[in-house]
Amino acid sequence: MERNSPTDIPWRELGIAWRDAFLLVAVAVAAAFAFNAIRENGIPVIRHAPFDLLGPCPEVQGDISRLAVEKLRPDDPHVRVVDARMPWDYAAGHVPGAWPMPMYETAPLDREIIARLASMKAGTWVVVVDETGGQLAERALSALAAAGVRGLFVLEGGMAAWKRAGKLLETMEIPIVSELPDNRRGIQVVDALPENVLPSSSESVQLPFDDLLPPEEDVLKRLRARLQAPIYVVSDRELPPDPARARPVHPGWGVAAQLRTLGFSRVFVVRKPLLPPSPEGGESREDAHE
Amino acid sequence: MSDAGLLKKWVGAFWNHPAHAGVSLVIRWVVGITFLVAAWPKLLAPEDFAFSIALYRMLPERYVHILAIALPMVELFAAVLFLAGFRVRGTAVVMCGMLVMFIVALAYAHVHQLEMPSCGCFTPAGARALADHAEEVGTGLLWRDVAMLFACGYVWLFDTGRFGVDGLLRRLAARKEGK
Repeated sequence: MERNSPTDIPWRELGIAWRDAFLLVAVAVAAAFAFNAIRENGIPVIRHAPFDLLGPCPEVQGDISRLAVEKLRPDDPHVRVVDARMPWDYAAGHVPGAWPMPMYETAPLDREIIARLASMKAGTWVVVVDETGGQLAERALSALAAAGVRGLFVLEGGMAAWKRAGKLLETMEIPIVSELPDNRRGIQVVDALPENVLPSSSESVQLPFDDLLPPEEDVLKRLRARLQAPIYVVSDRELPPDPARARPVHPGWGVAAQLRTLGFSRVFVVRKPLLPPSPEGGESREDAHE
Repeated sequence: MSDAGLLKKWVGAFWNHPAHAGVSLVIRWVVGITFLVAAWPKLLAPEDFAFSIALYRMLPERYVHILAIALPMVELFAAVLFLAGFRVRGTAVVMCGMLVMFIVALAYAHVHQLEMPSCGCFTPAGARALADHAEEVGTGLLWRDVAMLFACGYVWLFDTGRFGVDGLLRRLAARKEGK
């Protein structure tokens, strides 16, 4: 009981508090162990088995871990989805938040992506996605494992299973314009035609479309030097009505998708084809650029 | 009256000021509810809580369950007593003790960033434990616990339990004596 006068520091009560604290802890601990003994999910007081916090990494052992579609939560901060499909397939629809990591047939993995994955917190799950959860995703997983990334899974059934389950799809917008702007100042023109067809100019770069190889680094460096300038991708063929789904991939659409997945945000595809060069000295593509 | 006497009188008057009762009531309810909310999931799933304690790697693994069993119940008892205003000073001491323990653990985890061997990866249970406590490795919760430590220290020093069961029992006893 508190009986101090209005001018006293209650030393006795402050000391008694420690006795009360000791009693509280003793009673609570006794109640805790009694409750643990009678409850259904009680745990043993002394644990003999080690905590199974870390396990051997399956990818190091050569096994491929698979994750079912219903278990994938792309918004979980401890899960990172990477899409091993080509950029045009990625642009047409991907798991929300997935990073593009196209597995080209004849090129190594993007080192920047590997560095980003390797720098994530320990315990982050990296889920590799392809169209069907097949060889492409497995190849990507093995390449990532060899590069030192851990916690790897292949999405079982790939994007086909994701779509069948009615899950949310994110698309990458690639605006289409009917032709090049009249005023070419301040823009970059990317020529998706095969090499040596058009001479380079200060306003245009050649980036021939190749579905086996990523864009050349030198060309990307030139484009990144003028990052603020919008990029217009031209080709010698009319863009089909639904370029995202048309196969084979339209060269202009393919290059545009590659550039978008590489981080270029202002990329446009020109629908009208360029005129072919005239062998008799008539209007040339050079003129068409003017 | 001498200076020392004046000082003692002033300190005593401050120490026993009736305003402390109101401030302490607010503190007790905020801290009490915080501890109640924290204790409940730990009571429901002691195995998961044991994993979380193991993640900090501060205790030998064989004794982790002792803490996993006892701590939630101590939190629950302390929270209920704080809310009820019974034995508030003693409960405040218990709260301070638990908060010091949490602060040490959080500071340890923050300093060590819960580093794992580079060749290891989490089992589902380990990943779940880390996901549950990943945010605690930051400093936000650390400063929250430091603030609550000061608040509970205030209650220990200044709260007489006037607004609570302690005060009620005191008034009943006084009335009985008065009769």
